[in-house]
Amino acid sequence: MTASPPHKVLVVEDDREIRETMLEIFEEAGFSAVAAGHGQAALEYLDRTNQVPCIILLDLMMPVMDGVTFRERQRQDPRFADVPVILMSAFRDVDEHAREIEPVAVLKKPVHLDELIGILDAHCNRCGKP
Amino acid sequence: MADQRARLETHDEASFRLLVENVADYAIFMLDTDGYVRTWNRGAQRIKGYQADEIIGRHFSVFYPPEIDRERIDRELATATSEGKFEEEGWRLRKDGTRFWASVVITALRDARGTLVGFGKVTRDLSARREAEEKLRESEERFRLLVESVGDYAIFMLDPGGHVRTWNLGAQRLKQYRTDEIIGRHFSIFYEPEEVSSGKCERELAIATSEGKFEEEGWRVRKDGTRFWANIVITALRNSAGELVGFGKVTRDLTERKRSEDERLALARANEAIRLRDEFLSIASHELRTPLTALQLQIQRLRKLPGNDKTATGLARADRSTLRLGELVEMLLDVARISTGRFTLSRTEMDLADAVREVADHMTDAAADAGCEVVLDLEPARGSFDRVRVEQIITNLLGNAFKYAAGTRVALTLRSQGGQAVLAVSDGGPGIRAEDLPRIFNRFERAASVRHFGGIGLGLYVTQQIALAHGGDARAENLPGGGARFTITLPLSEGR
Repeated sequence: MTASPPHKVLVVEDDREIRETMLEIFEEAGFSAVAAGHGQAALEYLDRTNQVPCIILLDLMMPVMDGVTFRERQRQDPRFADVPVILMSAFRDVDEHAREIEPVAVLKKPVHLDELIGILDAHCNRCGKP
Repeated sequence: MADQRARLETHDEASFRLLVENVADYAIFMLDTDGYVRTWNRGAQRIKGYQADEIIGRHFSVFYPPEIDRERIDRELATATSEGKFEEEGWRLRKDGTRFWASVVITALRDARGTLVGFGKVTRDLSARREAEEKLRESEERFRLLVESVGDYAIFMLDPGGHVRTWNLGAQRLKQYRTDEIIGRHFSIFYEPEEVSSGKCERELAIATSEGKFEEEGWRVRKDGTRFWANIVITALRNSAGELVGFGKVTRDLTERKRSEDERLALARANEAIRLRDEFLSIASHELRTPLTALQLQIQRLRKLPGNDKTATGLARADRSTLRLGELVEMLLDVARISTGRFTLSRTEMDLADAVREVADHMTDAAADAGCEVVLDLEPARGSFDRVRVEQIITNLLGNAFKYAAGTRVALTLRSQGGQAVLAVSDGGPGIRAEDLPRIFNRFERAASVRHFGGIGLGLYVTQQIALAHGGDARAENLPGGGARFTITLPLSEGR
């Protein structure tokens, strides 16, 4: 599944409990996980990191900067424009804004963990980044 | 001295005669004791049309119309003789035969010894005044008839003390009293007893007296004791000297208007309450979702960590409970979306049969738990549907059958006919009570009692709403051999 060094995942989610739980889950599944509470914080992280993540888990509704705006800005910066996004959206509530984001997958809530880990593995093994 | 006085008197008499002769507005002339004209003045000439030489020496009966006989004319002179004066108003004739309305005063003239020497007659033409009075009387009569015949308004008069003096048709209709029953009664009879004892009637008249008018809307009482909502205007009536002579009262029945206004208000309040409930439902279910997701993730994570069997069993139960909780929250969100008009479909081209097979497959465990045998009889039904929503329909109907018809055979059939997909779920359960059938698709309705079955009674409501949103419908019926059947029709194409 994972060889060293581990693949890096960025979680952008405003609810602290969900965010922290995801970090625990990804660490336990062998990923290196980082988190941001909103789009602006995520952009700041991407700007200063020297290890761009291989995938971003993105929530839609967030304070300060929402998911759609984050995705727009992310795609304007060549350093991390090509990092794919998994959209976390409530079950049956895929907003029409979601189309603008062009996610590689939409993760419906309630989240099925095995499905989520499966998607991450597939993308991270393909991207070739550490 | 005597000479001087005689001269003066002669002078005065001459002046006086001149004065009388020249008065033009009054006919002033003298009759002898038998009633023959002896003098004539300008006024007499103008009013009666005779020159002095035509009339002097003729009997004054020529001034009377033919219907007045000579006897009555003679009586006038007799009255003047005995009483000193005779006065009347009546019709008189001009020389040309036309009539005029005259005010007549005949005065007996006596000498110093008291002997009757003749009569003075003063006549005034009152035709113009009489005509004006007649016109006024006619106009008042017309107005009175008009008021009396008005049926939609009670229009009547009160004396200054508040007693009814006139009554009209509208008053009779509205308040139910006949004219002869109500004239003379105090108007407090139209008010509720507690208002009368609080002095309301007196207050209203006092306001009308000081401000000219009193107006209000309020309850009034009919003769039979029933109430009506009335618009009332009381107007103070004053004569030309400014003295209060009474009040005019106009009352209108606004009961119908008030009733419809009250109904409109009640409806608005009910709608507002429903709107608040739906808004609360929407906010509450949204707010529930986030911590629920955190809870689900945490439980799923813990299930992956090494632990003993008891922990594993407990976490599996907790996982199922959070899933069920999630479904309920989603159901509430759907209801909130439907009732606030934010329920939208996202259609794709698909075969309904695939969705049915997939859902039935997912629910194998649930069917086994309920002891139900699920039998599929599916024909292809390709069309434009919202996949998630039709899966929800199938889940709801199967779940419903497992719950209410546990241990029976559940048949799922799908046909494509006449441009429609027809999906039917039949079970072998107890069926639906006749009284529940008409409302089984309503919000918060449940066919069985809460004691026996849980659930919040929204599944069938949401199912029907999804079918309606697709342009189709949902219906329920009992099968002749027992059991219930739910049938969903969905048009294959979106066009409506």
